[in-house]
Amino acid sequence: MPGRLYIGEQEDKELVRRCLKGEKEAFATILDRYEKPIYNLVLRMVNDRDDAADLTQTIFVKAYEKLDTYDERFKFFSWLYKIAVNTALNFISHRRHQERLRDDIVPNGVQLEEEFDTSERYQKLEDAILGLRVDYRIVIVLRHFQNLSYDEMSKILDIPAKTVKSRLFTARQILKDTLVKSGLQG
Amino acid sequence: MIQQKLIELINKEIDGLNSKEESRKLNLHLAKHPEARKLHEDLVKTAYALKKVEEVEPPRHLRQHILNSLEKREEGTARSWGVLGKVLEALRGPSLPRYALVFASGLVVGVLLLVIFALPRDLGVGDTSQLTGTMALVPELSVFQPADSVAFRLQEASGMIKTYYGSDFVIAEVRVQSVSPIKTEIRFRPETATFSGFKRLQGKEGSLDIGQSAIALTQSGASRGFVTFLTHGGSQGPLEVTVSGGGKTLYHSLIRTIQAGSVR
Repeated sequence: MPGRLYIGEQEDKELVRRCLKGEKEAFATILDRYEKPIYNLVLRMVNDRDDAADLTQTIFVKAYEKLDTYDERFKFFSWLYKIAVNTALNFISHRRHQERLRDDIVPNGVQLEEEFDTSERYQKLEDAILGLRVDYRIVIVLRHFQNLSYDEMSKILDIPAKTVKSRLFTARQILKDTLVKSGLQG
Repeated sequence: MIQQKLIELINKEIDGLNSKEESRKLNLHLAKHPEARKLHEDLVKTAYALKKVEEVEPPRHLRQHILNSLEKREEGTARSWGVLGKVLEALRGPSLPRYALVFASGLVVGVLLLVIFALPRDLGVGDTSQLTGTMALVPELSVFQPADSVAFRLQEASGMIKTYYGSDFVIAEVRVQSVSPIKTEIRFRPETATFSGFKRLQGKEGSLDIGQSAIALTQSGASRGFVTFLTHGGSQGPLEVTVSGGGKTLYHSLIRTIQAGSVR
């Protein structure tokens, strides 16, 4: 999935230009390109499908309103992801006191009855990701689910690439320990 | 204890970022250090487990929901705010070039301010030919503080003079209606005010005489114009208005340049 983000870089910029000229269809195309990645990014952060859908909507509305602040020297998806990450982090910080683990993330096509074991293992993995501190969780999500480079993550998160690496390495270590403890990983 | 450099190499290997040389070095290290080898194996398994996390399809309605919400937002703003809403919407959304609109708004405000302030000051006071004609834009004087007004109704002429003021100016609006030529003289205190300009809004060509402490407008028919004075601080005191015609004084009055009870 993330590979295709690079391919569309120039098209993204053209879409933004068209959108700024008033072509609403251009924004619909942007939405087609990024709805799924943004929804998944947010879903992995907040672990609630309804919240993820609401936040995705908020993110795209924000992006639409701020589109003229986008600087073409940078990648559009980095700009959009930055909005997404900040929106999700803001949501989490408000929700933190009541954040709880929920079990409603099951990939499409997985039949609970038929593949209970797979689902249970999947759940443990989800729980382990969600058990990470939010600044560790975000680097795992961006690196492993969105395939972003250290440099891109650095721009999106507004932290040095060195910090990105160090957080990512620590996050993996914690995740590995959790998976070992839960028996998911030998 | 695994060295930090080795941990970095392991992580970079997982991310596929090691050069061939770095990968070779890592493999040499792993062959020598069982603890590092175990860490590498575990992290590879973790990364592999993460790959199993599948993408989730967004709800089917989400795309349309987002587009509808953008549409409704625009409609809602326009409906509830009318023209202002449309302007605000244009300023907020990317559908119209925001800067062009801001520029246009600035231009309108600028022209208005120019008409109200700059034009009277910029007029060459010795060139009375510029003082005739009808302005297309009538300044809205209600934006200024009204100070005073006097009116006269005589056999020879009738008229009204109103004064307005700001922090560093006084405007006198002069309206006179007469059949024969009438001179309206306004005296001011040169220590605290300077004649800045005159703009005729209505009336035929007339004459304007400018002195050190007075200006005099002479004309016939219906006329309306604005006389602007710059004030230099301190108390300007009232203007002295004298209307004369046929060689005699028809009307004389003082008119305040600040609202009664106010302090400049």
